[in-house]
Amino acid sequence: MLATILANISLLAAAAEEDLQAIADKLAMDSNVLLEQFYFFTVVIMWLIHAGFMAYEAGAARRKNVMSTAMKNILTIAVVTPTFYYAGWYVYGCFEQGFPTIGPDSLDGHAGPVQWPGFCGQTAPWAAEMGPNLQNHLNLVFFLAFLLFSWTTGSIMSGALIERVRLSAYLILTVVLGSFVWILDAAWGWSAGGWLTTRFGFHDAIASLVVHGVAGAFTLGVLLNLGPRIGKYDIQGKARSFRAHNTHMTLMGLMLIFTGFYGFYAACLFITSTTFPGWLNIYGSYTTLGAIAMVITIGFAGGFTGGWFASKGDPFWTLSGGLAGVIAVSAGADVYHPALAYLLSASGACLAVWVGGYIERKLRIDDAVGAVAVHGFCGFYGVLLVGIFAGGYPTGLNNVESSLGGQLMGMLAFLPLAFLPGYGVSWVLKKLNLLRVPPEVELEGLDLAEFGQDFYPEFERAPETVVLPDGREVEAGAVLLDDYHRTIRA
Amino acid sequence: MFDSFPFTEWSTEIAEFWTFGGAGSTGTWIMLAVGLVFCVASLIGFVKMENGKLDRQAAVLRRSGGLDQGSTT
Repeated sequence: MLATILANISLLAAAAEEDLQAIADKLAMDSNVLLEQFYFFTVVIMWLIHAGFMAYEAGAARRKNVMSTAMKNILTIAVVTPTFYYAGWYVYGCFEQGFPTIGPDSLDGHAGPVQWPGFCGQTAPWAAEMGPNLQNHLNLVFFLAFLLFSWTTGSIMSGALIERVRLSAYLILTVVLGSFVWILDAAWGWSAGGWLTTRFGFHDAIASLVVHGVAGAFTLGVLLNLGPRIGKYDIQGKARSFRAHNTHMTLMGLMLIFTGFYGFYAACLFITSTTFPGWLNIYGSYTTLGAIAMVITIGFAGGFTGGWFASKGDPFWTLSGGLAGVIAVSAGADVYHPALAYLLSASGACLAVWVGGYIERKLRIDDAVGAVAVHGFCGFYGVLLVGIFAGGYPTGLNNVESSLGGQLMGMLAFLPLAFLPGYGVSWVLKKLNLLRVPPEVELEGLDLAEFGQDFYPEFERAPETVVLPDGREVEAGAVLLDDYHRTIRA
Repeated sequence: MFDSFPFTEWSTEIAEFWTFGGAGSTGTWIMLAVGLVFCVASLIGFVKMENGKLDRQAAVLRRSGGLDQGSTT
């Protein structure tokens, strides 16, 4: 009798154990699918960033350059996607501790995150995880989220170069930036196992520096070789302004970018839905989606306010101020209190307006959309702020405390890493006469040379105007022709 | 309810069916190589095609004489 009872209890216990295992398996499957959906929808939302950049830049261009400007943004997708698939993702997976070494350790993804063994091998384009695979829900959507970040770096550079860069030169530069430069710095300082993170506690949670700052520094290097648009500076070196052909389109583009930024922010987190607190930042430290969403929203508020007052109500700089403000608080968005983020974002926007003016008028660098000031300067400023206001927060797999010194270390590593390739590759293209369109084509407008047509055929062509340094707006024809002759004589 | 897929029967073949022979197989390597060649060739093509267009248009504009008159501005 007793033996029968014990046997039945044993059978019940075994059945319960099987049930628990089945529930655990289902829960794990459910969690994986949730994660897969989450990244998928962040990618969908992040497309808006690129729709926005296209509208933003096309609107800022003069009518004669509208399609050549927009085409840069579209073809960014055509060239960065395959090169990131073939090389960029592997760089992220395998270069976290610097450059891979040859030896037995390298066989198992030596440089991949400790908590994700073998990640390095999974990022190679020939890996089973990079193709259709019923056993792996994460790799491809995670790849896609990073791919969208890569497009963003290209789009940041794109606007600064408009109206005189060759489309093909831009595409080569964006491949270098989007598929190699930024992703190497992401491996070093925007991953749980990156050497800047594990050794110095470098903290840039939502990519102030690793995306925006790096793209801005790379762009600065390119602009030095590219030179200003014909007519941008008078013979004394004073800056003239060109009228955007459609400011409404530019502002709508910026609003689309802002919307897409929510996807960008969300994609910088991991869901760990079965363990407390449910969310981790890219370094594996605790945060919540609500915390970063709050910071981005109040960051826009502070940025718009700062941009408005610093530019004395200029519409372009008010909206760019919003972008600058958010970038300034992105690095610490996982830990900042909203009230702090509000103040810091306003300061970032004010500084961006001032830096933009300094770059244009004092340095005489023609950055058509202020990308170096908004993305480059504020990207570096953002990680500096973390060192000041969020020092001590544990970062990375070994929980090294973030610090001002660690943040400065990241800045010192990434400035040359970004600037030098931008300067070097554009210098080579310039020497090969492949960087800039011929001055005749620039004067006439790029659209007629590239596409053989005007893209507003039903509208009468109004005379092009230019704003002189003294504020007078005059017809541009004579000014541009004069500068053209000066250019070809030089 | 919808679990009618013969996964047990296909569990080993399905990856190969989808990926030209599975990870690291000859078929996958060939497809990757062809794709890489296409990617590089397209970059070269972007440069060459644009270079031709720009050179032609610049020559047309120079021949037209429309840019010859200097300005006193």
